[in-house]
Amino acid sequence: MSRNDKTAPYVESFEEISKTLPGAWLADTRSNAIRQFEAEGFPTPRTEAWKYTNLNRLTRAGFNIAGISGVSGASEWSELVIDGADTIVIVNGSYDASASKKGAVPIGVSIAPLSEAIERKEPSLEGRLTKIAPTHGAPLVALNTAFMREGVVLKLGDDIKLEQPIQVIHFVEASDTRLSVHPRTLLVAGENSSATFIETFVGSAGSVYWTNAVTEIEVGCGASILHVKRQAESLEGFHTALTQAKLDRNARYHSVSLTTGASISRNEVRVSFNGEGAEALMAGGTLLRGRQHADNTTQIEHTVPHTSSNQIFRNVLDGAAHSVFQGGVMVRQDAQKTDSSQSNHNILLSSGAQADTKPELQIFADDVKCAHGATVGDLDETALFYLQSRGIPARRAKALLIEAFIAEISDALSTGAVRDHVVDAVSAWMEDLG
Amino acid sequence: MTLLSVKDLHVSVDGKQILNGINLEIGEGEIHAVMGPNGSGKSTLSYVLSGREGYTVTKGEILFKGENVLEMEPNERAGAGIYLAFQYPVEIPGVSNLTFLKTAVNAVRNARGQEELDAINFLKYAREKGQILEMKDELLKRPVNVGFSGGEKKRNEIFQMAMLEPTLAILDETDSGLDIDALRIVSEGVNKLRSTERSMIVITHYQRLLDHIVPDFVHVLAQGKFVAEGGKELALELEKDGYAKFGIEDGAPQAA
Ligand SMILES: Nc1ncnc2c1ncn2[C@@H]1O[C@H](COP(=O)(O)OP(=O)(O)OP(=O)(O)O)[C@@H](O)[C@H]1O
Ligand SMILES: [Mg+2]
Repeated sequence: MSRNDKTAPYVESFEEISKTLPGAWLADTRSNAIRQFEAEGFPTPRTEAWKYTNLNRLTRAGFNIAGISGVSGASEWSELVIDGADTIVIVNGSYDASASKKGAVPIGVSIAPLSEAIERKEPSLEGRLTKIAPTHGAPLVALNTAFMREGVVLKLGDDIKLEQPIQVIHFVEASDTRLSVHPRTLLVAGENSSATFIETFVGSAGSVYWTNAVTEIEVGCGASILHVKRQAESLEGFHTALTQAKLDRNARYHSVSLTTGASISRNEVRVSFNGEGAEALMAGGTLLRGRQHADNTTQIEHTVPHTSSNQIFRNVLDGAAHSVFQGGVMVRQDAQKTDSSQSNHNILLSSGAQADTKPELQIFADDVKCAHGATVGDLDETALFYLQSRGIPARRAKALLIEAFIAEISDALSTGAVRDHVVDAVSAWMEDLG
Repeated sequence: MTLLSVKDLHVSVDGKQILNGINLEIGEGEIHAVMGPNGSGKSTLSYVLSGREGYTVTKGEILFKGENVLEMEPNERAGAGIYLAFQYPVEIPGVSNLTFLKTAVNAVRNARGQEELDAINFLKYAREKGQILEMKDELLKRPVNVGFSGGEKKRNEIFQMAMLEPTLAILDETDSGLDIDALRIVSEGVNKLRSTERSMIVITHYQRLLDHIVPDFVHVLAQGKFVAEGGKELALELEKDGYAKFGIEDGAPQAA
C-alpha cells in the first residue's frame, strides 16, 4: 500500500462528514489539518521519533470514523471509575450524559463536553484548542484535529483548588464496523489553581478499534495539575495519544500513566516550560503480555532557566511483548539551572519479550544537571528464591517483586483513591501472570 | 524419630561437583553444628536442603519427615518446616518487611492448615516475636533488609525464623558480622527458639556461637564431604588446633 492508499479513506471520510463536525468556525483548521495529514501520511519507523513503533497493523486494519452514537447500555467501564471522582463518560466518541456523574461544580470551574464548548465557542478555547498541540510534524494530531468531535473542556479559574478528581472515561463498544475515535481534551488551569484529572481509555474486550487522542493542557502560574492516564484498551485495540502540556512560571505538572491495554499503543507526552520555577514529573508504568506493543515517548523542552523535569518509566513484559521508551529532553541555551532526570527500567519475564530504550538529550546550556539511566533485565533470581524460601509461592513472589518494581510509579501519587486505583490495576494484571 | 535423613548426597552447580557424598541424620530437637573451611560446601548444603534452583542433585536423597524433599518447591519445603537463615540475607527494595512477613507467615500457615492471621493479629504476633530478638519496630516498616546493617540483617533472619516456626532451622553463619552484643541477642534468641520439636543445623566457623547454642553433634566438612564427626568437644578441638589434623590443606577458616 502506498502512503496515499492508507490516508485516502480518511480524506474521503473527511469530505463526507466534515459538515457534521461541530464548530463552523473550525472548518478551516480542520481542512488544513486533513491536508496536512494527507501530505505527511501515517508515521513510519523511517522517522526517528517512530523508530521502534510500526503502525502497519493499524493502517492495514482500516477504520471508520465514529459518528454520533446513541446512548449505550454497556458498562464495561464501570469498574474503572475512581471512587469519589466526577465522571464524564464518552462512548464511541459521543458524550453519554446519562452515564456521566457530576457533582455540584464549584464556582470558577467549568466542565463541558467538547462539542458543546465548540458550539458555544467558549472563550477558553481561544488560542488554546489546536494551538497548544501543533499539527506540524504530527500527522496523528492533524488527523485528530480534522475529526475531533467529543472530549472534555475543563477550566479552573484562578485560585481554585478542586478537591474531587475529574475523570473522563473514553469507552469504545464492540460494534460491527471498526471504529476510530478522535477525542480531544483541553485543560486550562488558572493561576494557583490545582486539580487531579484522570483520563481512562477502555473498550469492550476483544473489540478492534482505534483511539487517537489529543490532550492539551495549560498550567498557569503557580498552578498544580496531577494528570493520571489509565490506558486499559481492548487487547485487540489500537491506541495513539499525544499530550502536550504548557507550563507557566512556578507551575507543577505531574503525569502518571499506567498502560496495560491495546495491541499497539503509543503514548507521547510533550512538556514545554514558559516560565521559571516550573516543574514536571512524568511517571509511566507499562505492563504487557502476549504480542502487545507499547511506546512511551516524551519530549521535554526546557526553554527558560530554573525548571526541572523528572521522568520515571517502568515496564514489565511477559510473552513476546515489546516496549519502547524514548525520553527526549531539550535544554535550550537560555535554560540555565535546568534540572532534568530520567530513568527507564525494564523487567523481562520471558525470553521472547523485548524492551527498547533510548534517551535523547540535547543540551545547549552549560550550567545544567541532566541524568539518565536505563536497564533491561530479569526478575532478581536471588530475591525470588529468598521469598520462596519463606513459604511464598513462586507466583506470589514474582507478583511482590513486580509490584515493588512498579511502585515508584504509584509513589508519585499521594495516598487516596487514585493511588489505590493504580495499585489495584497492577495487582489485577498480576492475577493473570503465568 | 528421624527428622532429616540425607543419604550419599552429591550436588553439582554449573557442572561443578561441590558435594561428594554427604550423609546426615538429624533427630527431633537435635542441634548439629557444621564447620569447615571456606568453600567446603556448607552453604551449598544449606541451599540444596531449601531448594534453590541451579543446585543439581546428581546422586543420593534427602528425606524430611519421611518425604522426598527434592520433589518439593522451596515454598513447599518452608511450609513443611524447613527454614534457612541466609549467610547473606537478600535485600528486596520496594517490599516492606511487614508485607513480606505477613505474606510469608500466612503462606506457611496456609500450607500447615492453620488459619491466616488478619492485620491486627499479625501485628500482635510480630511484636511478640520481635521482642525475642529486640527488633526495632522501625525495621518492620523498612524494605526487606534494605539499609540494614550486617547485624540487623542477621537478626532479621532469626526474627523471621521465630515468625515461621520451622521444625528444621539451618543457620548459615548467622554469627558472622555480629558485634558482641548482637551475638548475645541473636544466640539468646535462637536459644529461646530451641524446643524438643525443633532441630537445627548451625553452620559456623567459630566456637563462640556454640558456647551459646551447644550442639549435640559436630560435623566437619571439607571438599564436599564430612571428614570428621563427633560431639561438642570436636568444635573445641578445631578452635584450638585448626583443620590441619583432619588433613585439610588450605588451612584455617578466615574471618568472614
Ligand atoms: N554457581 C557456582 N558455580 C561454580 N562454583 C560455585 C558456584 N556456587 C558455589 N560454587 C563453589 O562451590 C564451592 C562451595 O561453596 P559454598 O558457598 O558452599 O562454600 P562454603 O562452605 O559455604 O564457604 P564459606 O565458608 O566461604 O561460606 C566453592 O568452591 C564455590 O566457589
Ligand atoms: Mg557459606
